[in-house]
Amino acid sequence: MADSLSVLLPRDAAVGEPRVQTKQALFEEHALACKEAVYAACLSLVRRRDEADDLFQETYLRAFRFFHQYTLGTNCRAWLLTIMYNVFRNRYPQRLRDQQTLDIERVTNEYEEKLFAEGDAERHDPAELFLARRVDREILEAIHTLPEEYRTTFLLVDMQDLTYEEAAAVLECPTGTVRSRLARARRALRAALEMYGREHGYLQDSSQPEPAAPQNVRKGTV
Amino acid sequence: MTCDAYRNLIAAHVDDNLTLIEREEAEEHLINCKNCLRLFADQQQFRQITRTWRGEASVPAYVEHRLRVAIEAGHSPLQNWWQELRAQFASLLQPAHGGLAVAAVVLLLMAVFPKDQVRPPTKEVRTEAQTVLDAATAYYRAVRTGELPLAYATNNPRELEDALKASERLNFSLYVPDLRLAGYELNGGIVVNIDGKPTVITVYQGAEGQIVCLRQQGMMPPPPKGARRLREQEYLDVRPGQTALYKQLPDQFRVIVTGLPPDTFH
Repeated sequence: MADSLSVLLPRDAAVGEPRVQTKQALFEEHALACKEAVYAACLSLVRRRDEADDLFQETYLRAFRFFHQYTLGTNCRAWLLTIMYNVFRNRYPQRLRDQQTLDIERVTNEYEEKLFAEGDAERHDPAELFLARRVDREILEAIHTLPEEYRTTFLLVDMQDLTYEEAAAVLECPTGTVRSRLARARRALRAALEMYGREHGYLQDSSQPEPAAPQNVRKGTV
Repeated sequence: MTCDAYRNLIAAHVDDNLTLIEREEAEEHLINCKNCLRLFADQQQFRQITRTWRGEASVPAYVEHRLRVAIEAGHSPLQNWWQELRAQFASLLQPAHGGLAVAAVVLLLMAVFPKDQVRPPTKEVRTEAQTVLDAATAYYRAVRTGELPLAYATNNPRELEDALKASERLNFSLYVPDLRLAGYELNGGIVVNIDGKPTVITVYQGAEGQIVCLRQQGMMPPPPKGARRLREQEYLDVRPGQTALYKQLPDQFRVIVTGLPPDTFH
């Protein structure tokens, strides 16, 4: 009987038995408690806000429908992110998932060559300036320029704090792949942020003593 | 270890997520390679910064409202009742006499309730229409308050049609009517997902306020109880401060909402 009951309610990892609580109450307590994190992940995964809204809703509707498959006491956020990633993959064809607008290889190489050439000279940190000024839209824009596999890996490990193993489970790839994708993602994002900083007036050339105040904060569209 | 090999592992090195052997090799490489050492320091600093960034945190009210409406709509009262009953009996039932216990419960229910009440009720006809209306209302509010900018902002119906088609998100052909003769100018539109269906929401501005037009593929949901039939496949539902027109088109249905109550925006 316990097995048939588990069809209705998630299992409790600690005692191995379903808990006596309604599905909606449990869903509220576990799944909806992660809604901010999942919404932030949706916004990082797709560029347009209305699409992020849809992805968020579809993720939670599926999570509600299959909530009996969730094991209480395990990482609910990782479970929700797995659903989100599957919805994302099923909903968007590859060409739409790859929103890349930047030549990642070129930008990374240019940035790193400059970094090596500067040697031990003290330099201003563009990313730090971005974050200090909390230009979220610009950072999100930089994340969106990454190829899908780098973007998702960065999102899961760095923004959602999943372990490498948890991220590998979500992405259905080996842990070694997560490690190399994350390395490329961080290097590319670092370079992209530097480039965006210059394009949008947050940074001057590193030879100048003080960075410029923001001049042209772009009003993005959804 | 080569520079390429090290740079593939650099994130794991920064996160201290290497095996003992890998870490020894990585550290040995850094002693001999100034560029990789510089990159390591740069990446370490970058990781410190990104650690604090989590992106946008709050779910907009209209998104949460829409989700809760959808969850509520997909959650039938009988399912809830049955789940609670089963959960209540969970601790009493053992696998060995599970069958007997279930039979006892069924017999008990049949004795207590008349036959018609034990049978699962058909889904309330009001629910689907209300879900659609609630969604349109939520979007109306979000657009009106500026919480949700229209993804396609144009006053040209043909331009909007082209943009919506180009989005490749619709599973039906769309015609955006020009309502200028009726005194309404197009503001723009957006594609959303309501009840699992791609839905186009267009917003028009008239002298007496905005109207929201919602379109989905499929049969029109049964209009709410009390709706007045105007003609074939067209119903008007008038409530205090709120009017909704339900209409079936050849491969889609549409709901036009107007005159929402003032407290919608509170």
